[in-house]
Amino acid sequence: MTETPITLADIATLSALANGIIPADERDTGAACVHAGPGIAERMRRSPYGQVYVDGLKAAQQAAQSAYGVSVQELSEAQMQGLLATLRASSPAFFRQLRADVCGLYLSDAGVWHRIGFPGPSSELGGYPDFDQPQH
Amino acid sequence: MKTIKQTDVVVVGSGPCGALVAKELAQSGLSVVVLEAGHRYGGSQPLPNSEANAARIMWSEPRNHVGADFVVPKTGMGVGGGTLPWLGVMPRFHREDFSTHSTEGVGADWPISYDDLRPHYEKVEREFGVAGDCGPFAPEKYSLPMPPHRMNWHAQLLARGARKLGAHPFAPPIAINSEQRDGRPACIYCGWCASGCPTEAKATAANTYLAKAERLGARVVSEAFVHRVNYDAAKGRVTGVEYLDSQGREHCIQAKVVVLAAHALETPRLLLMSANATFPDGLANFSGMVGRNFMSHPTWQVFGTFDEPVNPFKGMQMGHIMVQDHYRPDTRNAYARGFILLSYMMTPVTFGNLSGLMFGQELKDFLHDYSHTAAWWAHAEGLPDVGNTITLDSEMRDARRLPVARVTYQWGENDVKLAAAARDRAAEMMAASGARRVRIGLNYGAHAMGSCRMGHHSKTSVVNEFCQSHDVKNLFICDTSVFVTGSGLNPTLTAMAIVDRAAGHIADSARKGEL
Repeated sequence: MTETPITLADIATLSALANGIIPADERDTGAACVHAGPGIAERMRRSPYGQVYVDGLKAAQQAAQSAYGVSVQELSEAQMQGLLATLRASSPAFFRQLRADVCGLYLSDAGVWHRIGFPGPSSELGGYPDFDQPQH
Repeated sequence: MKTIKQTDVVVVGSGPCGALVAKELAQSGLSVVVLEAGHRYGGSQPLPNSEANAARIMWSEPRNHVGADFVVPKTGMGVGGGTLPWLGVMPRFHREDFSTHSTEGVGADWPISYDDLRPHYEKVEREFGVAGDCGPFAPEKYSLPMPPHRMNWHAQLLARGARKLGAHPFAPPIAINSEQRDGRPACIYCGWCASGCPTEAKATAANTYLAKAERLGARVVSEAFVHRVNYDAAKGRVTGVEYLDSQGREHCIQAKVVVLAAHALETPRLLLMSANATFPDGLANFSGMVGRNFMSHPTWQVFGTFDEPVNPFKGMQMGHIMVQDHYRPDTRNAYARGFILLSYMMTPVTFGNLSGLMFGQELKDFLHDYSHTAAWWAHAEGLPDVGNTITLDSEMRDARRLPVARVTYQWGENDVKLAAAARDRAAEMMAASGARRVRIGLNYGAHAMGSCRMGHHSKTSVVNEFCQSHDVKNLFICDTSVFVTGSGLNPTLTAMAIVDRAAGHIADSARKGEL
């Protein structure tokens, strides 16, 4: 399979977009805590949908320049939310793929599991015998 | 140099339908080869408890999705096919599901009825291993070989709201062991069904029919991507298939009978890629119906967040309870057909993916409500439309340089109304259960069906009632491609019942020397 070429600027753009999808707050640093930008760049390099990302990153930069006069990396938090709303409507395939990949990385992290109340795999411990009881 | 081997029957696809037909035909004394595009897991290649398994056991090769609506049904890959990531819910279709045009003036009638399938439903439920109740709205009262699973806490919360609104939730048929059976253990409710069950309590094509088929002498070849069905114009018969292995080497299997069981996207793609001088528009496509009337189920995810912990990850992922109160057609409704609701709990990544299109702080707050959130899966019938198609993309190629499937889809007016009714009813039930906040998640297409429909007439359908091509007598299509309508119920059991009926026909015809 032909690899999709990725630049350092692409990784910076991906990191900024990823933290727009799952932002930092008092709980954690959002997508950054799982290094989503480089992680997605690696997936993008090998993915059959790499071209979706190439086209989407180009559309994101154009939309940021057009709406706010700055690059994606320079957007304020509010501007980033506006850009993502635009991409959701104008570049649906890219938005969905980006959102799925950010969620996939964030929600596969053991630290995030702990924070959202998921204890992780249980099959080797016998599953959940209390599955039908009131939960605490 | 291309290798050439011979067999009586070659089956393309190792999902539940391919596995079933392989076992039945091997049992009847025929030599059978099953070709599967994906890997074989288990043994030295076990599936770990990881949602990253999705990239291995779900179809992840490119397809081009176009059309007004983005419909991407989940499909499987690997020995076991769609049953590797599936969730195992196996209700029977209702009588009216086979005659939607006669009864409501929508869709189309099937060439077969519920009564034609009844013995095959019973046989598949017994052989595959199904637990549960038939429920109060079943087409007839029937029992299943294993008792129902106890409701997890998540389902008990959902049942509370459903009952408050007068509904009758029940533990539906599901192909996950509620007790030890067929050499496999009872479920321990660890919640990793869709990532490849770690205990084998969930029935898959691999741990049931394929295992039996192999014991009967069938040969299963993994990492074998079939890209052409060969046709002898002089004899008017298919003569076998050609496939590429993982190294890109060409192989040929010569066979007396070819069975396609590659699901409703890849089966029409393969027929279209097998065009020849006799069939310039795709093999077995004199009707022009190959790839047409592709269907999915319009589905909404409805979430409810509670003050109390739900811990929805404890239990089977889908189907601790089902509601069928709104399934039977009712002329007072503003729509045709009906819908069901199913409990659907998720491991975290799936929870995120099914939450819809929200982002930013709204998404993060939602994700952190995980342990206190329950979910209904509101699942409706999508009617057939000749404009919803699978074709060959003229530009996009896969890694083998083969044209990918181009999926063109638009939900019909009735589909949208019906799914909205399902969504709204689920939201009402969620509120009645006591959820402090109800959120509407992803609207998507569940299941792939149609695209090579069955029928009595060769000008309007691709196969007959026994899944046999009208145009090529030794070619059979044995998967959900042959569905005429999709019903609003999970389709796998009905597909397997249809294929069990077809397998008997193939075996009989082979015995008589007709194939």
